[in-house]
Amino acid sequence: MVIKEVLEQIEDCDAKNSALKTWKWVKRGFIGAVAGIGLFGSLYTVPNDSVGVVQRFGNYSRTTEPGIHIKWSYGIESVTKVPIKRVQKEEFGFRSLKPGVDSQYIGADEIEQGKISDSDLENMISTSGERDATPNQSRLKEQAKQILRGEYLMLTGDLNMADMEFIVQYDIKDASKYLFNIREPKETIRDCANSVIRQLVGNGSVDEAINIGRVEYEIQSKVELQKLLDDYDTGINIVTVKLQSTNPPRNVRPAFHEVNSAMQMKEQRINEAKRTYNEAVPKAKGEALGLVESAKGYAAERVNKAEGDATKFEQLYEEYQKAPEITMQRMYLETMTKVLPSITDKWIVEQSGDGGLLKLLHLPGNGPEAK
Amino acid sequence: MIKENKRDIGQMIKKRLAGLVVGTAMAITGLSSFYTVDQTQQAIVTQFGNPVRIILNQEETKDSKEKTKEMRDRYQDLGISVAEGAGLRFKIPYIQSVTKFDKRLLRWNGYPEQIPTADKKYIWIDTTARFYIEDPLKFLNTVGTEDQAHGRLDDIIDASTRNSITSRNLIEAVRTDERKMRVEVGLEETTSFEQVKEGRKKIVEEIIRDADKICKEKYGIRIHGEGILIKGISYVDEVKESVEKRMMAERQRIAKKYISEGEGEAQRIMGDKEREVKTVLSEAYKTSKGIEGKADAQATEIYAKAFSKDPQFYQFVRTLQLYEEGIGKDTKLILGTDNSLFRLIKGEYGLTQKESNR
Repeated sequence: MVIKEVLEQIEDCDAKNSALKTWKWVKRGFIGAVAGIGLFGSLYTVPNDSVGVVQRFGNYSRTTEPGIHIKWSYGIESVTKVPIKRVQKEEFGFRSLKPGVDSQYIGADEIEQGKISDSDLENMISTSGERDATPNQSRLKEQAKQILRGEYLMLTGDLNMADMEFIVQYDIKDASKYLFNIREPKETIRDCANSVIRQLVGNGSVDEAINIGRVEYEIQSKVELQKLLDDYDTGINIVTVKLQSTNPPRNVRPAFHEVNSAMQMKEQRINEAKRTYNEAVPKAKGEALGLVESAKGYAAERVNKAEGDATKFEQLYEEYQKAPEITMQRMYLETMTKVLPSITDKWIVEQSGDGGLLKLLHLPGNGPEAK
Repeated sequence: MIKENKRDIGQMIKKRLAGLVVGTAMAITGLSSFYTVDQTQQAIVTQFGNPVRIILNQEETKDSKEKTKEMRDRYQDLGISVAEGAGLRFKIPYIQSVTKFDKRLLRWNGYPEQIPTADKKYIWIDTTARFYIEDPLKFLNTVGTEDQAHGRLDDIIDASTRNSITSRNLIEAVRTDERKMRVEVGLEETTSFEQVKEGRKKIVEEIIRDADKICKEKYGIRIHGEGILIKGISYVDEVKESVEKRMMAERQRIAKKYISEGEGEAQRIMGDKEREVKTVLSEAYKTSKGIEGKADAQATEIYAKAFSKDPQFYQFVRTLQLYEEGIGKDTKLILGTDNSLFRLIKGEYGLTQKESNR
């Protein structure tokens, strides 16, 4: 108004009119801009994987679903978009360099071998949530290894040690709790997971940790981690806890391998023995069977032969009974006829007192000279 | 006319400027009589530095009303009012100012501490805590800022952790209960497990109780009921080495055990084999001899039965058979002239039983 009145004092009619006209447009433009900014500021979009949490003068007002929404602008209402459907991951004892690429990660060995660039190390250190975690250029490697060691190294219930790498996947089940109940959600998940896993591993043996208890640990740690986060009322939902590589400490690993190879040797030795057994026993059984069978054969032969002989004798005897003398003589002579021709060396001597001609003979092994 | 106009304009500008100043001042005053408390905050209103109002901002739970009442009781006599809830609030401009604190669960993270246990084992313990400001006024008066609070918590939690750990054996800080541990085959008898009396959970509870008591009384800070976590526990380097040695020795023992077990089992199987083979063969021998013997007996019986009809004739037949089988090419035969074969020549007839051969 002030400006308008001043403008009205201008005497030149044309100049006055054009000035007044300009002023009118300036005013309209101003009002339009204020309204436009207000309107524009009151529209917001919630992405598909999120919800919008609206606060009026800081006080929680409502939670809105994905889509376009209106709110009061000019600082009256503000909106925070929380990605509740996105499953997020925390890694312990190692870090993936590129999300989704598991083959490239930061582990203690990789740092030792100098495979990791300084900027990656710096990044890892500053996001670790550890106190005093300001990257120190001269001892980057040491710091990074220290942080990872703090995560993977655990004591077991038999007072041994194990290196446990694991991941936790989570999403947000209650956006307003997530925003308003806890200030450092990511660090809280990390702290709780570290503590829960340690409690489980600490209550079991090293063998359970690295080998025989892995599945139980995964299940139990998920349950206990969820319970703890619910106690804190964080609105976080644990999707899964997965143990990655679980090993004995580096220096002890060769001894564990020794056990494996000893186990294999044991198996091998037993298998060899079993093979020998499996070869020998069936063979012996076969042999035994053979022995019995041949005995049966002998028995059959023996009995049959006896029966045959008996039958033959009985038949002969029947014949003999008809004419005993003649038959005997005939048999005798028949036998002699058969036997005598086959003998080449035959002597017939006179049977007189001192043997007669016999002493003249040089029979080997019979005469005194034959010695 | 122009001069008059100019004077009017001058006056008018002055008047308007004055209006602008007053308007601005009023606007500033108006704005400074508002303040907002975020959902994540609680606040204290002070008047010339003296607290007059506490804005708690609790989630509505069973206990929250009771807590508000407790705060009211505590501060009513001092002329301090207690209100609930976030949002837009009024105060007297200029003379009242607002201090805000976080009301959320906050993180305290300790440095790893080297602590000896009662059984003289040196370990690193890394703790973290979740705490919240329960009484913002007490907090304001005794601590002031969150950074300061971290410093206090360092002292309190480290001290109670140290107390609880040093008074117990290491096993108490590591294990939770007496669950039977499963171990690799071969270690069952050789590994001796220490007994747990209280366990880690109890120790942590004790640390929380001790720390919370001090925090509450002194600083208006509360440690969450599950709020202290041992997020790291490990041996110091010297102990680590000896533990590694022990682990290696244990494993080598298992390895040896496996090898000798393999050897033993193999020997057992070989023994089994020997036994089995010998049993089978000897049984077969027994059976076969039995069969043979029975057959022999049967044969003898058959022979006896047949031959007993005329033993003399049998003898004769058998002798002839013997001649046939026993006399061959290589036999030297010396026949005396007395022999029955020559009886015919000598004029004697008939066979006698006197026969001989050689």
